[in-house]
Amino acid sequence: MIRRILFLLAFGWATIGQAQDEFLNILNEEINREFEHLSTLRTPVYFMSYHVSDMNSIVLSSSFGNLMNTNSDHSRLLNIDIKLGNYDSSTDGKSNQYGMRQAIPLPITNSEESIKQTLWMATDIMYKMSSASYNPNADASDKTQSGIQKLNPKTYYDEELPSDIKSIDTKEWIRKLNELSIAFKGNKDYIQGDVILRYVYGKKYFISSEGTKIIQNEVRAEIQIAAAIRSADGEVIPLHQNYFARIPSELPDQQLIQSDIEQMTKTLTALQTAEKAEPFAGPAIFSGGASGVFFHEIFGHRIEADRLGSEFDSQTFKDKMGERVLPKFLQVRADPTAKTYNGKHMTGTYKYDDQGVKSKEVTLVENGILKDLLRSRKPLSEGKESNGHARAYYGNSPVSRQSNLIIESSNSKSEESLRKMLIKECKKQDKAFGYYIKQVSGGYTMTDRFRPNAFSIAPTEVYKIYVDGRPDEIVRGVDLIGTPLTMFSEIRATGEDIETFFGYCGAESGYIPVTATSPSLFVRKIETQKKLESNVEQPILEEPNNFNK
Amino acid sequence: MRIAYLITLLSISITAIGQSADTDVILTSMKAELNRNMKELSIEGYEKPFYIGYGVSDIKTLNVSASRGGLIASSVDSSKSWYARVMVGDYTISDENYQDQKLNFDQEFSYENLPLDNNPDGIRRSLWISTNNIYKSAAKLHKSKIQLLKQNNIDSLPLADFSKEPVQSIYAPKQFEFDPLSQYEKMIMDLSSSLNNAPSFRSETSLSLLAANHYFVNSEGTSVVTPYELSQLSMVTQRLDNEGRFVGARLVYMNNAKEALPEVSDINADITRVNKELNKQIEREPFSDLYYGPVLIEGELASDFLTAQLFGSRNASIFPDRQNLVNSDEANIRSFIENQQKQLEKKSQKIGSSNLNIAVYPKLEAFNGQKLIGQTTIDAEGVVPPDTINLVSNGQLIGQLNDRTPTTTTQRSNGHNRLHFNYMSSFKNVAPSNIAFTPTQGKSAEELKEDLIQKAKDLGLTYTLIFRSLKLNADQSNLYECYKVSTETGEEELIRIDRLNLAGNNGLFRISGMSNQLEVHHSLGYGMGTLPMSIICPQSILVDGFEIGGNDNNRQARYEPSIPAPGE
Repeated sequence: MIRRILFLLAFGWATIGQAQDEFLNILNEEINREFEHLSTLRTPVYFMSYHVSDMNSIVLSSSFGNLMNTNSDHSRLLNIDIKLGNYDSSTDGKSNQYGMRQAIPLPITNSEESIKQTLWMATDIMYKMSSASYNPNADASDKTQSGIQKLNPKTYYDEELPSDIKSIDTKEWIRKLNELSIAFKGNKDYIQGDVILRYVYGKKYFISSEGTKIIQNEVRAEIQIAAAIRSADGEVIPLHQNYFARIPSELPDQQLIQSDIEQMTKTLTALQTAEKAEPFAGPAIFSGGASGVFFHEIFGHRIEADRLGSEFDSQTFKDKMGERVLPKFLQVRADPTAKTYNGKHMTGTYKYDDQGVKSKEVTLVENGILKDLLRSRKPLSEGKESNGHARAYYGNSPVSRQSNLIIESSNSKSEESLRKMLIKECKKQDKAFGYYIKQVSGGYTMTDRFRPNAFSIAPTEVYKIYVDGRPDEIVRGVDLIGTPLTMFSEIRATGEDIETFFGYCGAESGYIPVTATSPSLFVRKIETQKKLESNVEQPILEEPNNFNK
Repeated sequence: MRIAYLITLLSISITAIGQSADTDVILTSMKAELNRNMKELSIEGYEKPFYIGYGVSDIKTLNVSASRGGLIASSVDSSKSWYARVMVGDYTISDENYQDQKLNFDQEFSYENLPLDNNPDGIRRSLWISTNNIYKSAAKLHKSKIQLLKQNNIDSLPLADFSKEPVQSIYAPKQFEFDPLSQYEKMIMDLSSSLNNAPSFRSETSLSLLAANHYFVNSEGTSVVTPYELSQLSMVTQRLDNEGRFVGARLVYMNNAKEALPEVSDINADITRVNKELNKQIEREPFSDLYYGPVLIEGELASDFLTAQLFGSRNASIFPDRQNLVNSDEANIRSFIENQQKQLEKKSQKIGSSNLNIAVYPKLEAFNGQKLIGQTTIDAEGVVPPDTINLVSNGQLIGQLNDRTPTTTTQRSNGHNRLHFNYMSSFKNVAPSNIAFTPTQGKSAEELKEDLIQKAKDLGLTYTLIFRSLKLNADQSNLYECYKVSTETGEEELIRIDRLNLAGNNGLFRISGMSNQLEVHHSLGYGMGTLPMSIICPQSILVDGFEIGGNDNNRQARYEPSIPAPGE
């Protein structure tokens, strides 16, 4: 399984209150009616849940000063979970489930007849698919079978979202986006110059046959800047910048974004003529954001408990509980309850996970010692309960996934000290330079046994730090590669600065918003390879109507 | 005269848009970028382009769907979909109709999206980049083709690469606004409720409205702006009979006008009829015999049979099939040229019954007082079609529908490069407009039934079959009745046959009789499923060698719900 993280998105908002929700009542009546019947069949259902994402989305995008897309959408997407057998047998691995791979659209108006009919038909088909693959005689040690732990019923309702956040001034936003994206116009080497506003608001419903009823609000706004320039040799060089807030009016003001775009264009111009990097093995400093991706890929994906039961998983940390897995000055926690960190809105935040379990902060590593894993309600041999990390994108069955990953250090050093350490290490390794990895666009890792247990991170802004005191030099075409245990053993120190990477993480339950917060990191030895080359030639003619800029 | 006629015709239905061809931002931007590229685009060592054509569709869509009174989806969207054609060489030998696998265009063949706002810089930017990319590929291909022909001492090819057509100038855009979305939502939700007066397993009612202005300019001087409209209302319902077999109905109402929907009372009348017919169908025992013999097909089914047979035929097609010259060794190139020459000299081919004639009437607006929806007054390449194109005469293929790429049967365009739309994008390909299937000698309904019975008797059959489409207000439906007809008495008994395969082999040859009564049916079924077309065809056709039942009876999926339906 390849897991990826990409730049981007999200924030969860909530206020506790009581909701009279007509849609919830329809879901409740139908799940009870269906469960009453399904639990008495020869292959009985012992657990079922409906997870409905009732969301409104608005997307406006502008490119080179032109409006390219306006889209608004309201959808209700249903995910059904059905477990056959019983709680006890499922703990023994005798139960089975069939993950429906497509979200089912439900009516967006509260038409009782229409909603119940859709729920019934989808559940009936789901039950048939599940029972066709159910094996009551499955080997108890077969951890590929998936049951669910019992949960006491929970009820939680967020207050209704205020009506004034349910719309935006589209005309004004289009004006802003066009004014921002026009900055990329006028240079025929720019092949991308996009500024995009995404705004999502709505409710997430979770209701189960155990009696759990949850309504959580979800509201998030984002501006994404995506630009790419062509180098003289035809390489496409991209840079991205994202801003997150709860609602659009809380996003940074136009001037600040404008000034960031100016900086971005300067960096892109520098990258356009920058030297292409050769494969390298040696010391490096990762910025906080780059370190966040580094930890998300090489550590975070290996502490997601659900897949550790599979004999095909590399099980890097399966039997390492209580053992040192990271340098002793590092602490790692996952905190889906964190609304902000250092003033930044966190996007991996939620009150209840996608199996109806209340989210909580989990200490994963303390003084370098592995303390816990990210767990869902899937029964595992350790017998531990879920810690609220079952997550899924619409249409996928939830599995244990990351939320807000936070790396902290008890031994922080100044930027200057880190640079000194890097230069000293370069000399020791007889290297003329080390790398400073400032920005990355994402990465991926493999955790199965069919392929090398390796990772790759895609830096977008990399500098050479020279031993001889020359100024730092920007380079292009670097891909960071490696294997997890070797990389952990090469971490030597952390910086004082803290940065958060916002992204979408993709794995077996789909793409979900996550963050990774980390101090900068000094690593004794990294390995890089050349990036896959593109070859996009310059246009023959000049950009039309350039004078209109 | 032809152009003047067109302009008059179009202007009747046009709402004033408040701008002229000289001030229209989309049109002027297209022309400006076209002229700049024609004048300045060149690469050292390669030829300049000799032809550039741009087509832009400025599209608005409205989509609403509902089930059992609940709204499933509702949206109004707009987009600009476009295409460009850049050719290097000349009309005789261009870069087209040629393949060279040694050339690599991986990173060059990209299209840039056009902006939604009518910003001239934005429009021209997209055209600029894409023209640049297409030209680079075309220039390389053309050079390779010329070199190949030179190396093999070939001065000319039997077929030219591009046909010369008259320059056209039409400016007839239309201002499009939809009625408020809420109005359509209510209508579709109400109709979806009506559809479920009887219990169903699954049902959905959906409405799609499309309105677009299509802009086309080329370097020959053609400049055409014309409106396109389409409305489609679909209703689908699916039920289970007592043994779990699916029984369903699909009704489609379509028109080539934006909001020309039927009266709600007409739709409700259809719904009442559909519910009644499905209830009756569920009660009947399905046909379990294996039947092989003649059948009489009546109504919409006759149209479905004829179009399925004609459009499904690969060997005797009314559509062009031009082979590309491929860069390979001399023997293959010589063989390609010889084959193309032979095809050019080939006489017409028989593709069906000697009684069958097929023609298209692109400009015909009505037939027997019924409106047609496949009108094409000018195609997506700016070519005006003739009034009539004869395709099949007494079973002989005598013509093909074509665009500006010459083929062995048709070296000039007959204006059938049609534009069609799939949600927010437009596409173009050679497709029929208003197509007519007519018999040289038609028969009355009584004569056809007598012929049917006699043919069955000759085969020693005790009964034969008639399939009769239900007459509804809908333009398309899959509902029909099947009658078992005694060869002794001629009496008809209503039976149930759920599956009917109209796409068997050589069906046009198996037509042994056609009605002298012609009727009109509509379809959106060609291309991407959104290309309006009217079919004029005999009310009934007699087809020999039809196979019904057998294994088909047992292949029907069955479904038994594990949970009782809500409300049961």
